[in-house]
Amino acid sequence: MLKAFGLEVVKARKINPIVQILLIIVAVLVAFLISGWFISLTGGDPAEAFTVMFKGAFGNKRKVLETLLRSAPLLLTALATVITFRAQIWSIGQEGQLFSGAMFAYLLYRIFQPVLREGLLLLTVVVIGGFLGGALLGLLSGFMKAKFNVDIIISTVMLNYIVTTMLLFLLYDHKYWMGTTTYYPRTDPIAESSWYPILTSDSRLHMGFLIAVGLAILIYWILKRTPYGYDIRALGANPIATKFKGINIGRLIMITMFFSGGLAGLAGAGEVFGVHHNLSMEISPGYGYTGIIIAMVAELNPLICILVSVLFGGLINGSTILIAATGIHSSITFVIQALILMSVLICRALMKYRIRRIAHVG
Amino acid sequence: MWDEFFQAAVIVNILAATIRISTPLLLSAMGELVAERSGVMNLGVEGMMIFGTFTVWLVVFNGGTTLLAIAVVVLVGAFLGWLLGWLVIYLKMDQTVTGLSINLLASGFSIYMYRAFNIAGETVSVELLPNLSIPYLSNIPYIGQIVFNQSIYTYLAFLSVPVIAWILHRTKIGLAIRSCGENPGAVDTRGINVYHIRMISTTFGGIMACLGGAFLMTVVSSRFLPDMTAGRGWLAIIIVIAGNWKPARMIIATLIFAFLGALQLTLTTFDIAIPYEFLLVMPYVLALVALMLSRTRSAAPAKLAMPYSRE
Repeated sequence: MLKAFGLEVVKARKINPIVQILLIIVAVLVAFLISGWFISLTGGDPAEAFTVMFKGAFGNKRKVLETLLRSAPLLLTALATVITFRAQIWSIGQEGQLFSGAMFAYLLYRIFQPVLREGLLLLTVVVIGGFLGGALLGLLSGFMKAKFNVDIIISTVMLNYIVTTMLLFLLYDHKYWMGTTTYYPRTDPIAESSWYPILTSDSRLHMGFLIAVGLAILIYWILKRTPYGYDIRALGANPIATKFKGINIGRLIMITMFFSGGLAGLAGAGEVFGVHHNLSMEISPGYGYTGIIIAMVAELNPLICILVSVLFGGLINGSTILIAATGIHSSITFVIQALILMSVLICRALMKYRIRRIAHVG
Repeated sequence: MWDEFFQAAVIVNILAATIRISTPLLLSAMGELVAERSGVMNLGVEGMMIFGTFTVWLVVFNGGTTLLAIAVVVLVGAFLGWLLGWLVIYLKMDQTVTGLSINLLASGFSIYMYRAFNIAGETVSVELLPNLSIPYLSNIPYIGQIVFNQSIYTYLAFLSVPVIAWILHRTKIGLAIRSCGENPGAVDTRGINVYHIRMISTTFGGIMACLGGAFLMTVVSSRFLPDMTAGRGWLAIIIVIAGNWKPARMIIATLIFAFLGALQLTLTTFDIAIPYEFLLVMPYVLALVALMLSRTRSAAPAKLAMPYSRE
């Protein structure tokens, strides 16, 4: 088509990083523009909606702290995505691992709370439980890949369905986890003495946020400076060469899936013991999937993930008052998130090419 | 209780449900097969099926008939397949990531649309297509009820298997499609455009996936729910792998998954000791087991999910 105009598409030279960042920002704006158009199609006022959301997310100190609270699980699931996707292991099991982390932490809480009552030891048990719950589920996918060559992407999707359905089973029966005082599918509340410690007295921001940021920095360092990080990057860049270098790929996949699942599991434990103070399906409105989007928008860089998680946390936090203020349902954030992802990915792909005039020979 | 279960009427019911439940799986899986044979891994099947359900609902919501809705679904499916193809074939975006983003987009759109219209209390129910009884054949005892009293989609789905098998293995275009998945460079030297063949195959995959979704909205349920495809798109991808990229084996894989689904539907109406949720996850557990057993002797296209550049 372009040829008719004497143009052709060729590989671009390296683009200046500042221009790259500007182009990505333009891509995000395009995503908002399309979302806005979509809001107006369904009878809303996009300008009003975006203003309400921005004020709801970053309007004052309390709102910023609430935004940070929302960003904690997002950052953890994003980091879970970073370490797998860096190695070209396509795990999309973060949602299921988040739930299995929450379930295992809650199970350990039920077992140990009568014995330990409260305090640092019980808190440690809960955090480790959250990590292990997710990690073991991740390891299961890694094991199926290493020993039976089952695609990670497919085993993780199947396990997401299996885990969430099993949680429903436990939550819908008084014999198991359904609360004694409730007819909703949720557990009895967690004893206040076992909640995650709060960071500032006037907000709900809990220690899970600090854990997440600390882990982001740690993972950045591990990927950059340690042999394990090198192996992960090597596997992502060239799996065949990695094999010939004598690295045990199966083992590397299992270890990576273990830690990735653990990170997502921590997000689940944080939501149960830091935010909701009970276990239900509501602990995650798709945080696992949002984490995948964040990691890809952040180009799989753990430090940039912190920034993008806060922005997406703001998006989710800002949307909570949307329905009351404007009548637009908060699920518009799912549309915005997906459009941002698409738009940024296409932008990055386009940056590899440029259009030039066909040079005529002779 | 088991005496009750083993009555002829119940068994006929289960088998008829098996054939019905196979339909969307088979439609999507056959579309996926063609795309994968040409070298494009479409992981957006689930999302495309969601777009299928959602398009039917949207058209009917705006006053269209069910038949018009199906026609629009075909166009939407073609567009989505074309879009995925353009992104991964021309822009060479990663096929896994692109497929996933289509899923996320579909899921987001369907949840928002559902909420947006349900707030206003405007619900709409789609007029379901009646079953199409084949004259004479549907009168055969048992078999007639099971096989020849189904919706038009079902006949289309089961007919598509031999047709696609024949096209892939006995025609020139089929050879070109398969060669694009195995050795695109060789296809190019014969003067056939690899990009075009892959685009056509992916577009076809999109149409089939969307039709699979439309089946759910025009035959099974008249009410729209977000994410009502419930993993059927992923099962379609698994069927291609478990069927080892061979149409005949894919039918068997589909029927096994569908049988479990049918069993679950029937067993929940009986008072048995197995919890409903356990029946619900059976297909997913079986899928994992099937994949663990089938991955050793794979006939996957050699260049599956690898972009082709002419330079």
